[in-house]
Amino acid sequence: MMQTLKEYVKKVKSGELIAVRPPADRALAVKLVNDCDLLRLKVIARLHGRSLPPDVSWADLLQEAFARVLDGSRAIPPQVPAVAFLAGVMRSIKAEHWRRRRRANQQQPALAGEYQVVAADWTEACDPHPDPERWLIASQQLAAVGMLFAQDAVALQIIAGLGDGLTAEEIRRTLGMGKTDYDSARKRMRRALIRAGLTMGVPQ
Amino acid sequence: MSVRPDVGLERLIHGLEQELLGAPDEEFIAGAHDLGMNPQMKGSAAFLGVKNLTPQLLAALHRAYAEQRNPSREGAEGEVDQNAADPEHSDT
Repeated sequence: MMQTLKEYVKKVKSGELIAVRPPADRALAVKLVNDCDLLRLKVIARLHGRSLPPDVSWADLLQEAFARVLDGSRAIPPQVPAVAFLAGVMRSIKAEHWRRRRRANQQQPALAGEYQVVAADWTEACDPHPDPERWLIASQQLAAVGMLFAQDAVALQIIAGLGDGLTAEEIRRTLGMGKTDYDSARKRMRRALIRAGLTMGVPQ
Repeated sequence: MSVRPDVGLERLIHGLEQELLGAPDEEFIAGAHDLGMNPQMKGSAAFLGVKNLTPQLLAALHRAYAEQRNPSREGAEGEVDQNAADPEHSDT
């Protein structure tokens, strides 16, 4: 393993290590996206990172989405904004990872069996094969997202509504809020999400 | 939330993703500035993992550096170098 960051940089400069240009940076160079789009996609990737299997990072997800668009394996349809399309590609890559994971878990019948005993009471009938690992990650991440808005009771109610699959209008009606109050709560939520998505170090 | 956690989390992420897709650019720039980052600066920490080193590689490098400085702590996997969390170290 490389001993220091300085040494790594030295090796890259001397050509001993090839500095690979990340796909996102290449997309910027060909003007597929701009700097602000990259910030937006980073925040979205970190959001999706909350429901990824542990061996995949948000950065992997983001770079893979760019790589697929750049190599032509996912073509952006006309009239679809690149950022929205890339977000969709990230979603589908995430689903692929979980499918792969599920196939691997099928080789662990003992663990799955034990889990069923615990989960049987509150498992939705629509999905007969809940993934224990995914369940655990989701519980932890729902709590983590809740912590982001711990001081904002309205935001917590909106989150609960989104988790229940309600639309913005349905949530607003359910909460009996005026449009202005609702919009300002959404703005506070976006601000917290953006901070969490751009911050470094400890994941939030 | 009245659904299974994995279902609820995916719905929540989808809803929040839509919020982020519709947010004005200024909110992202302001968010970066709030954290002491300047996205207009080349090599800004705001783009860590996007245009440059991934957080995983950076963390591995920090760990390797810490091990070299203090071999007795070797093998302390998973520790986070707090300096890595400080944007000023990368943005200034």
